[in-house]
Amino acid sequence: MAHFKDFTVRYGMVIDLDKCTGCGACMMSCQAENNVAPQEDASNKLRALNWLKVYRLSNGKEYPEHETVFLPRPCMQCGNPSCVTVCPVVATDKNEEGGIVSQVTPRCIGCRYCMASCPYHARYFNWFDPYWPGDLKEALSPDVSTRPRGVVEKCSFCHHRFMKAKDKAIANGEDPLMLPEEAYQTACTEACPNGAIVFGDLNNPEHRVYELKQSPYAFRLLERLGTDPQVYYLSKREWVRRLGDNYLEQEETGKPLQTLLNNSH
Amino acid sequence: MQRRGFLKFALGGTVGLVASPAIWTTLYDLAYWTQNWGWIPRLQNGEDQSVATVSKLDGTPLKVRVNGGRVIRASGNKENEFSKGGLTPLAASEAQLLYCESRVKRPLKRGPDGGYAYIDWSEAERILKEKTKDAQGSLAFLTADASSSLNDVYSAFTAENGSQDFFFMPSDEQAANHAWRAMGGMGKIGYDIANSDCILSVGANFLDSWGTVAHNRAVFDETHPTDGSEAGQAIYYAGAMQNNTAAVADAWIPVKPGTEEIFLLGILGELAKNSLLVDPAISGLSAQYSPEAAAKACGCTAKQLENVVSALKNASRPLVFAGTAEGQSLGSGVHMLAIAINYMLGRINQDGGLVNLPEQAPLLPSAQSTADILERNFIAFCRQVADGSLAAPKLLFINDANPVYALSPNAKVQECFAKIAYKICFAAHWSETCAECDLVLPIAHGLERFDDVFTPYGSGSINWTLAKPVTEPHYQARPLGELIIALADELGLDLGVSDIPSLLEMRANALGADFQEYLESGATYQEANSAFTLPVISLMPLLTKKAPAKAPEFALHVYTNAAAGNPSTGIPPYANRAIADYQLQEGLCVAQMNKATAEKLGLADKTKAFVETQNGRMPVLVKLYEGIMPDTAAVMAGLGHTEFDRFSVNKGNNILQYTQIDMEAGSDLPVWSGAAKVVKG
Amino acid sequence: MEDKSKEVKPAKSCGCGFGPFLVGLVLALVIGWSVIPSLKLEEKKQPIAFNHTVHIENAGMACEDCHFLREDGTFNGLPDTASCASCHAEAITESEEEKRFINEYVVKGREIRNEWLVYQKQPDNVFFSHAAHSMERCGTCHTEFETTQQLCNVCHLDVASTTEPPVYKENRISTYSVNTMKMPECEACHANPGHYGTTNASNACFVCHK
Repeated sequence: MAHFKDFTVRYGMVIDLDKCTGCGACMMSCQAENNVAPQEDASNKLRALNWLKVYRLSNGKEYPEHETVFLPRPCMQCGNPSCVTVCPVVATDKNEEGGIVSQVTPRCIGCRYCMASCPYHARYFNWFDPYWPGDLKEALSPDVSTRPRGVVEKCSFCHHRFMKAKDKAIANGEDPLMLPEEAYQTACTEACPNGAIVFGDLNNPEHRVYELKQSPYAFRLLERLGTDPQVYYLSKREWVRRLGDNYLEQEETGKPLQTLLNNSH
Repeated sequence: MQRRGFLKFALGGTVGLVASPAIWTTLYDLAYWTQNWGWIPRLQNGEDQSVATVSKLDGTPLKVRVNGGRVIRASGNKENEFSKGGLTPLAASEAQLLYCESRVKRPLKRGPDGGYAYIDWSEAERILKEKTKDAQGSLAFLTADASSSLNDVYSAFTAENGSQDFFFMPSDEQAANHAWRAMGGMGKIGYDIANSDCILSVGANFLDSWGTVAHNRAVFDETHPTDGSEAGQAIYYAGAMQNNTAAVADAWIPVKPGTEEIFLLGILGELAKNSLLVDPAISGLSAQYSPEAAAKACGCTAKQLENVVSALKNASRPLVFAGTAEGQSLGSGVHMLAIAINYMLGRINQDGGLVNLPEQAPLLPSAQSTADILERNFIAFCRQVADGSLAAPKLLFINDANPVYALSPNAKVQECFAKIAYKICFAAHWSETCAECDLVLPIAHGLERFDDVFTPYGSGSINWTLAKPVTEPHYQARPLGELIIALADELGLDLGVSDIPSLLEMRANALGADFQEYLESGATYQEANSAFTLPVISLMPLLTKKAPAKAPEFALHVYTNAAAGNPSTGIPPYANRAIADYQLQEGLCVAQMNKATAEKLGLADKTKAFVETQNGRMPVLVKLYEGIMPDTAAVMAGLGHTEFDRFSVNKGNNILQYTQIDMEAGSDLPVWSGAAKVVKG
Repeated sequence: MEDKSKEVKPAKSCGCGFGPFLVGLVLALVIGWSVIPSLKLEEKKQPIAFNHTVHIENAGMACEDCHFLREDGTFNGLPDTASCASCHAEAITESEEEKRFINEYVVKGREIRNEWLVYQKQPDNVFFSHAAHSMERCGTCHTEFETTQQLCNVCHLDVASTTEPPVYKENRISTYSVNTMKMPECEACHANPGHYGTTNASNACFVCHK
């Protein structure tokens, strides 16, 4: 399937679900890194805001056959982002090397079409003005702007770190588009003590994600929608891979998108 | 001027204004204004610094980003060999905990009306001195942090004041070390998780909140390659709930709360069957627990138990240990049995087995040894003071511990407190315990002081990481170590140390480590486990151990979640999002149970019910989760705070106030019992 | 009747002609071009009357001594008190302003960098990379820049030859400095098709926004 746009550098993640214990260190790091305001009432799911959210998955069986898996969900940075095509004001776009779907909140008018179009619930609306009670605002990072209420925001793969990494490469006379893997890592990747998240350029054979995404255990969420997510998941458990999309009972997981395309031609 | 003239004038004015940039640039400015609302915090940018230290909350080595003097956030320290750069959710909250609203900002004194008033430090120091002088020989000291070298200062201070009553908060560590020493271990019990190829953890959530978590998880990462190749370490988790550790374990073996000993006895018996090391102690005790009998009592299948045994037998470096949720304990019995199993497997003082961590001499002449402190039992003390069998101390010092929140009425903390004339709480955060004390003094947060993490419980070798201040103390906080040294000076007591950095340097010298080097790098000093002589493991205590109690019909599994903080921190600001939304409803805890259990009790998903224990009835919301064994309900601890800040108060309910604490026969160690019922609301 | 009515209406003595229109027009133009813009601007003085000329000509300093790219790719736009103090720990001239700087900042440990007003200060949502706009990168094609200073002056005020800092003017509504580059000025290059393929400077949102 044709991409929305082709890039030399396409950043992506491979998340090993068999290694995630669901501790939440990635979520905590993400909030601190990206100046997401703490939420007083997090019991309200409709008003909650998470750039990265860890879900507890179940194989749906009753005890004792039950199994649990945790799934961290950042923005998928889709190759064909449905959010971009619906935005009436071009506040979100995918047009820069790196292949990260941008979201510029000062431009956002808060219509929330993108939220409706995103199949991954990766986008969140600011129902409230951000508030850092007490002296918490002292800990605001200078790297990411604060967002007012009334706009939509989402995970940016810690894009500011990409910009910093590129600047560092330029300052040292290196090619900013051929960054070594460790030069640019997201906050969640760094935080994960289990090494469950691997981050890098999906197009670069020297980055680990290049090989990992081709693993027989790799899958993407709802990939048959044709969104071409840049986030891959790994699991040796078949039921986990099946949860990634709406499979028919007899249908096999594996390379479903290819099969679908072959059948349609 | 007449009307027409005025209109012409106005027209001219309009044309002029339109032709000038005033309107258009103002619109432009307004557009910018809407992008930068004045009430939303602006970013400040200064020069970046990265300071290496360690989290005093769970021992995770850190690199802290400081920008223009402001502490931005804590990340893992990639250069640290112990943690390999991993971060735990609690350590990730360090910067936010430093600035959050619950910080105690100034010294507070309770007035006769029970209300608190700010006082100056000079007055606080005066009271501190006066009260300590008056309490000569009758001072008790409670601290939450068992891994700090600063305990030498505190225990020396307590001893110099003529008292031995220096306590740690009750924990697994006490029970495990009691068992270790009873069976012949010389120093502290160590778990060489890094070098084991097959781990059986009974109840210890060691990949989330038990032991040296960051290190354990770095080991997990290394032994479980992402590329799908063979794992270097098999993990078996036995417990009531399919928790974080169970989610990634090779197998989850359901074991009902209260039957951990039976489960271990079943394993022991199975191991003893074909072993040459047949010991009357073992055969006698385990005879009554065939795999079938043990499995039946525990709620697992005999097959599961046998599979674990064969995995342990076939592994080259197996390791078995038991544990509980943070801040709880199962008594020494389970640890004795785990030690016996390791002994049967030949895993005592072996690479990847149970290791003896040699006792470290105290750094200060009058300081008490960690082993002695661990033998002292705070709950027993509270109960004795409460019932009058022990004279109440005149003065109690509490260092960042929160027993009022964390210990159930069985511990009689409140009754004990009522008999202590004066209580001083040294706290970074305003806790439930602060609210019961006469004087509350703001102490430096972990990122504001010199401190260390010295061989925390769960370590597999002697290890040591230095904490250094990444910022000056905020508000009027002072580092407690320095405060106690100054107080000792005032009282004319010689502790044998002039300040905390020199104390930490003494630790470095004792270990043979370069203080400056470790201070700069934030690296973890690790001592190789030398081939010291095998301690004589005596199985005698097992013989005298009474047969374990029968399995309860219904049991409560109280678990902790590393993200939810600990009793001394409350729920950190960002942690609310990492806790499931249904857990955070006001005043209501969630009891998770499987469908069959709920049906048996006549309960349905999302209905209200009550957890009933000896200590009362707590309203709960039923949540169906199939990752819990039958006739068991799992309730999360760490919620339902009444103090701290808006991110902690009224989130859920505090199950710890309802859990039953029994005393283990023989050792008198506290046992968090699962005895409970769930009834319809 | 018709005639009569004509007679009754008096001839206009004023209100005729362009007089009032012109008065209104001129007045509005003056207000619109000069009064309102100046009302909108708040003038601020820099904390210290820093003299660039003296430092360059007398002390022989280069621009890069204070304004340089750090190794990590970030830009050291302003020197901090400590680097000023490496020469000005004690007064080395007769200047009153120098004395004030030493007493107020060096002695008290106050950070001058936190108080200095940046003429080109960008809002929080903008990320500007000095590393990407270097002489090596822009100057390769744009040979019209003979010195780095010329390149810098495309965006920055030419302060090198000033003896005291220009007045800092801040828009009271937008709170931006008048000298701040706005998006159309950035787009003059970034949206220029001539740049594509030559540089990585596309006009994508995330090239400049954070």
